[in-house]
Amino acid sequence: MPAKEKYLSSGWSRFSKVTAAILGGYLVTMLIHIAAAKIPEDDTNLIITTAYSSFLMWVGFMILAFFIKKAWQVWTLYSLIGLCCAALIFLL
Amino acid sequence: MKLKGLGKRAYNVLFHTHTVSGIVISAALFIIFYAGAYALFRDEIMQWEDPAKRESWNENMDFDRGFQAVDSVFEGLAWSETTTIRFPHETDPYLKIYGAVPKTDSTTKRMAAAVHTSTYAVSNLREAPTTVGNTIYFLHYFRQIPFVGLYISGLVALFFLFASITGLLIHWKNLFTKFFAFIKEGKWKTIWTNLHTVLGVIGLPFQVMYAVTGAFFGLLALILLPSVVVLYEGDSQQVFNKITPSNTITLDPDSPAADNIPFTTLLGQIEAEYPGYEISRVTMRNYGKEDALVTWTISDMEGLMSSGSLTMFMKDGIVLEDVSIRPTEKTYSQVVIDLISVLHFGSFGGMFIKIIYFLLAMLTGFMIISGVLIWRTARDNARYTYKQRRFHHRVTKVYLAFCLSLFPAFALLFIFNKVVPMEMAGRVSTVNGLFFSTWLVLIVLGLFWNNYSRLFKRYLVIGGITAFFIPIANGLVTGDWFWQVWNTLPRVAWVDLYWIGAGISALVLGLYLIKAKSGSDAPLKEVSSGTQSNAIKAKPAIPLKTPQPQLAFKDRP
Repeated sequence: MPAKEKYLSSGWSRFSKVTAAILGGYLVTMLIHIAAAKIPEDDTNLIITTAYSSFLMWVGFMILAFFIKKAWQVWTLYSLIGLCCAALIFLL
Repeated sequence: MKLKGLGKRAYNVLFHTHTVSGIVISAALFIIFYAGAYALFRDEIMQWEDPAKRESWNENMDFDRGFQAVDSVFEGLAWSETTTIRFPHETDPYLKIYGAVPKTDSTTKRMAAAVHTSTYAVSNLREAPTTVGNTIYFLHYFRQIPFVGLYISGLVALFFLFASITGLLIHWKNLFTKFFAFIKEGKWKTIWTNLHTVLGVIGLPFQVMYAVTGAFFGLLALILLPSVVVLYEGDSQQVFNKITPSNTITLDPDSPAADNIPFTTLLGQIEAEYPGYEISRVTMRNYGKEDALVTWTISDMEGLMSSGSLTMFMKDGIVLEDVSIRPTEKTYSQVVIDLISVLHFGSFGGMFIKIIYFLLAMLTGFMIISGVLIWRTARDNARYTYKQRRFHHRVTKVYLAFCLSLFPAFALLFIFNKVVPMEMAGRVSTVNGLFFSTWLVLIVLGLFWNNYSRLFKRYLVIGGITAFFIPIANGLVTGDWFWQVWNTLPRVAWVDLYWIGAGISALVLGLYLIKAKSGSDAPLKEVSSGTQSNAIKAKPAIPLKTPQPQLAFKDRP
């Protein structure tokens, strides 16, 4: 009944994944929300939406981090999304 | 009917994250749900705990006179700061004022006062004589832990959302069958598993709602901070103004004093315009000055979106439409935050919703406990070393002791409220001290009971017996026996009746339904020999060598 060990990562890889899930997930979520809030003229609705969408998205990124096989792939993906959003925030 | 499930690897990985996140938050989450379920009835409990709140109130109170009374007691009350007013109501017959008083430096500190509706006597709410409702409510978000309590509760809510969603994903394939899996046959592991999934699937909407709204209250700072820093150069006031538009009106703190329309007259105007609505809160700034501003928050307490806020200057009483929100005419951004708190506090749909919430919270508590028992039972076999199994057993025991002792501890808190004399100085800290120390004693006692079924039984019996003393203590100390005040103070009577009902159910469960088996649930040094798979298969045949949870319902063989 407990999950089969052979599918689970271990050691540094596990630590890296957990960090990517919680911390990386948080940063990516926030960057996406801020970038989205930059797009429309009035950002009120988007800021208010953050109140609930941020938690759902954060948890989504947490799950995605465990879903992807390798920790470096997670970090690469999250860095790319983060950089794109940062660029949008800077440019808009 | 089956849905397409996860792949083998994804299933195992997400299963593991579900287990780990669930186990880590479980005890804290149980406390949050258990205390939260009681906190839904905080108003009722607060009337029960303080006999002064059981009086009737003067319907024709002159509110302006009440404000002046507070002003003279709290010298230098800063009316220029937002001052909130709550009216006397069924469970609290006092006018309450929450404002600010200046400190020696230029800052202010919050104050709270209650005014008697006929004598206009002012009392300091921060030095209230009783604490049952507040102790439970504060425990709900760990306010007793300095500085970080609220954030811990927010993080627990966040990981509860994670555990709920991963739980949904791993059960996705069998979602339809799980919904109806009310099966009580089979091995204990199967029963715990079915219980866990059925309660998890049925309660999912409720649990996700609470996970999101709870995370919002706990981690608001964390999600707001980045947006405020990047988009508003760190000025959070601009964001809050979007929710309370009346704050955008700036007032002059030095404006001259003036005779405005009396507060009571304006109140009558609002009541006439919105019959059937309840004025849940009033906020004022610059009261008594020429530009005094008042905002009335009204709600019919039934619908999800039927609250609103009306802002006016007290000199003319004309509603400022630009900064007012008429009920049911809210825009999206005006609805969201309000909706989050209405959903979280169950302040819609009346008593019916609160009772449903209470029952769902209790079921969720049971889901959390069954989750831990699955975790332990699934690990109590030859695949794990003796040391590991002993660790699993200890975690389960500590965890069960923490959670299950809350029932008798809460019952004792209600007793302490009546036993500690009302006129005693430092009464609140005495009651809190008694509550937390008896809870600790109950937990430590539980650690000596190595048998889970005995743990369940004993806590239920202790709590059940204590519960019967609650209405008796209330009757003896205050004279309000529940059959006498049934018509006049129904909410007080209901608190007494709740405890009688809880006491009966706890005793029936503890003495009759749960049959304790002798022996201990602590792992044995030797597990049945053979290979791993044999050890598991051998379980039903050699029950004594691989101890099973020893909670048994009587109708089982």
